[in-house]
Amino acid sequence: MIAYLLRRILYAIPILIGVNLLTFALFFVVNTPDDMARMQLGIKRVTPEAIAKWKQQHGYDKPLLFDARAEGASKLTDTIFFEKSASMFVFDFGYSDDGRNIAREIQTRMMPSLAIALPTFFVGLFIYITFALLMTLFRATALDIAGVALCVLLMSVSGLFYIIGGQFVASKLWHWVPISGYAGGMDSIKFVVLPILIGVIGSVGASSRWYRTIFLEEIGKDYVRTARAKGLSELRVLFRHVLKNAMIPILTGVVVVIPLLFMGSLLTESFFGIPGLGSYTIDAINAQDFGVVRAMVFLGSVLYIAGLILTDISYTIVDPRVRLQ
Amino acid sequence: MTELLKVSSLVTRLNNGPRIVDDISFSIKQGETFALLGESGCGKSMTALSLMRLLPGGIHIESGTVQLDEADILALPERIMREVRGGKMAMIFQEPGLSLNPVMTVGDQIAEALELHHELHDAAVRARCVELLDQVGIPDAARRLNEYPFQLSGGMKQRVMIAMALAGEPKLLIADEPTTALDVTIQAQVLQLLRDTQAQTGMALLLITHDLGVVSEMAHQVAVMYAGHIVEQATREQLFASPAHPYTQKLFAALPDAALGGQPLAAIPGSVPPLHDIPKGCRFAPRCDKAWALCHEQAPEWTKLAEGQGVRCHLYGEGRWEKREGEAILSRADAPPSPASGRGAGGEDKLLQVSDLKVHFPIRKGILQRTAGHVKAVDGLSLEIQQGRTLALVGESGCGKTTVGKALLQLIRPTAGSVCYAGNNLVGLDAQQLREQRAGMQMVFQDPYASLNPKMRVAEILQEGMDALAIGNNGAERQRRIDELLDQVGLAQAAKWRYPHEFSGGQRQRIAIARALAVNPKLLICDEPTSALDVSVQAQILNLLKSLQQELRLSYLFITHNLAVVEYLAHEVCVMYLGRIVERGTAADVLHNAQHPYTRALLSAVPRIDGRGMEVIRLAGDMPSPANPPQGCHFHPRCVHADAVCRSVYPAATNSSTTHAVHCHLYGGER
Repeated sequence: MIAYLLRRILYAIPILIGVNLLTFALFFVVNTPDDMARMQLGIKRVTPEAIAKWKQQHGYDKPLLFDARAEGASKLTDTIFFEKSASMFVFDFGYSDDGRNIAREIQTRMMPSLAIALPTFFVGLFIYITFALLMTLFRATALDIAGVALCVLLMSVSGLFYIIGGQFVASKLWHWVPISGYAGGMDSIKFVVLPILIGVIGSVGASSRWYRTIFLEEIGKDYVRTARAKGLSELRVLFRHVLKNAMIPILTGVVVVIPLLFMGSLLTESFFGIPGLGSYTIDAINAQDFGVVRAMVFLGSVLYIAGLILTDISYTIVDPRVRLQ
Repeated sequence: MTELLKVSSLVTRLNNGPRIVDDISFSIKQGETFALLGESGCGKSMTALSLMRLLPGGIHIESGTVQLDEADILALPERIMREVRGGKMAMIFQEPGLSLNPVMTVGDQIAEALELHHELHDAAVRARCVELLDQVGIPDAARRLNEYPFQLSGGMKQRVMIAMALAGEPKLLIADEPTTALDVTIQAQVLQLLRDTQAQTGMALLLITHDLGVVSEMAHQVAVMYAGHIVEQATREQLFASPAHPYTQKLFAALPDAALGGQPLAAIPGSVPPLHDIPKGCRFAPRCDKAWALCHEQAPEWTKLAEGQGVRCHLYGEGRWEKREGEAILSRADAPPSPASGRGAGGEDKLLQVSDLKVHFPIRKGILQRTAGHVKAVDGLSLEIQQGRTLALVGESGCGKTTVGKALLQLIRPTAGSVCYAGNNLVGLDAQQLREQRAGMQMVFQDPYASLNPKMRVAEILQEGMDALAIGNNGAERQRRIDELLDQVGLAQAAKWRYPHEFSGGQRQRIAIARALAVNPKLLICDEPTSALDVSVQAQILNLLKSLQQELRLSYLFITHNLAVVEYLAHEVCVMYLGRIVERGTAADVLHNAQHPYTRALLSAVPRIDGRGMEVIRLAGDMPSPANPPQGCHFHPRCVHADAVCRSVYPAATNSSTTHAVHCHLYGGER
């Protein structure tokens, strides 16, 4: 198991280099360093000298990937790619274009993101599984059909509708909670309740319907018939036999996103004005701030790989047949 | 003895659909074994599930009564019924591998059944679990309790299933094809266990099976089912002495070991009718060679023949006088003799010569995935096949016989050794050179349901190989060849525009054979081609293979675990154990003068229908893993004759005649 995990971590290195290269290439195909300078300095009063000065200050005056004029190893190291990306492997993210320390920024913005993402994830998972189990228990009855119809309805409505509709009803009409904004400490509760609620409702349709399919597939298997032949009640069959077996496919989709919860949600945070990592990323993209974008993409890749490794480990916990080697 | 279970006029049907179980009545006495015999799709399992009230969704019991111990099972509320299930009446299933919960320990699964039906403390539950595992013959029971099903072999899993069923101390045990998924030697162990348990506890056994051999060994009473009806019921003695229903007679005649001296098997044409298309009169009439007008018009009534024997057939009913006189009941001898004797028809040219074939799969370990060992699936195998003859490669699951087939075709590249087809060594050829040789050797796979592409029409399936190997000059010629092939395998030419799912299992296997023949091969490798088929259909396929051999002078490598099939088809036999051949010889040598203790155990474990069954030589335990074969003779841990030499040295071949060789120290010079 240890050897397996070490190997997986080693595999991560080429993947991360690849992700970095790809982000770099995509970003600079769309933007040149000149564009970035203009964006920062303002379009109107810009002079070529000002651009050159900005590029030199921010380290964008070098070649992108390969410096033909340099000597030896610095042909590769004396480039924008190396200077901006190599340090990331030791999690040194550098500074954003407006001069802030990206690592410090990530640390302070992590908490608001988690305050929304974690409850949404766990409350959601509990509700989706409960709802799916109920539909399974009452399978092929009117209750089940109504449940599936509700799921399809909820799936078919755009996520934006829930956000705007929720804000309109809960904040504007009923004045339960503020429309948007955030505060630290206990005050945060009134700001996060609505985004969490909307996050859960937004994906209840797709998730419950999918889990229901998994449960139904399990319930048709031979070992379930054996369990019934022992004289177990349907509820015990469902909880003692079906649930644990169904967790195997469910975990595949679920555990992998746990580390990514740190990244926050792009849409929700923007709409509710939450100063989290999601809105941070969106703002950076709008401002063409390469430093922040590559830091967030890199962090996302690291967390995704961590999620995949966690998924593998979680298999060994729920399925005794799985041995990592 | 009193009647324990009484089923009368039971009808189970699809909701708004056809009847799956149609008007079935029988009764089982205490301590008795009642066998329900029939082919797949005839309603045996549905009868059992009806008794347990565990029918899958969409199927319900329409009418009838089921009485167990005076209690009316069908009228019980579900809450009480749950106490009966697993309590008075328990059930075990066909696939022990799928029927146990894969993520629960064996102990927990048995304990669950115990806790439901007895009030026991935790410590007592555990003690009882150990006791039950001991009772079903699982060694080291206390440790096994904490293991998961995947850590047990197939036979062990079925023992666990039996232990679980015994937990509620049932009065009736329903066993649905309990040994079908197991090897013969393991089957013998499990059947013995069921008999022993029955003797100890006095429970009744409802045994569902398609295997006449198993019936012969186990049953007191037998009911034969066909398309939802019980068509005949009798004591075992009556049924085996004088089967009355034409279907029962045909089942006996279709057994491969029933054929005498190269005659074709008496196959039943067609297959069991699908539920939605049940014939109007007698359900067997379309396949029955004794049917006359009345049979197609009117369903026969139940006719009592003797004390304990009854039949549902017009031959014995009021209408029999209408039948033309002079037609006797068909017996085995009525099967038309074949024009030429199948055996010895071959020539002397060696078509295929395999020497010292090895297929090793590496086991990788550690961060850098270094090779830590090998699974020696095939380890030094030599054989040769002559033109027009059949070599049977016999062995139990896991012995490497399928790997041999694939390695001969170079579908798996052998690790070492040579495979010479018509003088050319195939090992080491590149893809292009191999393609040139592909036409000579073709394969027919085990499962005709999975081995044909469901999205291709039959004509496309047949033509694909011809196109790939450029057989035939143009499209028209290939189309003619397709018609010819379909004709050869006994299918109508209209079949070529249809898709595989429109055919029954036997017809699909015919398509698979036609596909193999399309490129004019000289050698067919048949990997268990009949083991997924019913007995009556198996006979059709075996007859087809035999007549094709005579017609086209084909050679067969017949890979099988079924010794009865070997007897019918093979000229030479090789017995494989753990990647090596332990005995080889002519069919007569190996089947009638077996020398290796493993071959003998294998032969004795096959249930025979004629009661001449040899004393079963019971093998202890299971086949070891090919990753870690035992020192010395691979078979010694399970062999009663093993001594010090066997434990240290692998025996060399000893020839007892020019054709017969065996790898065993019993016959070598060492002892």
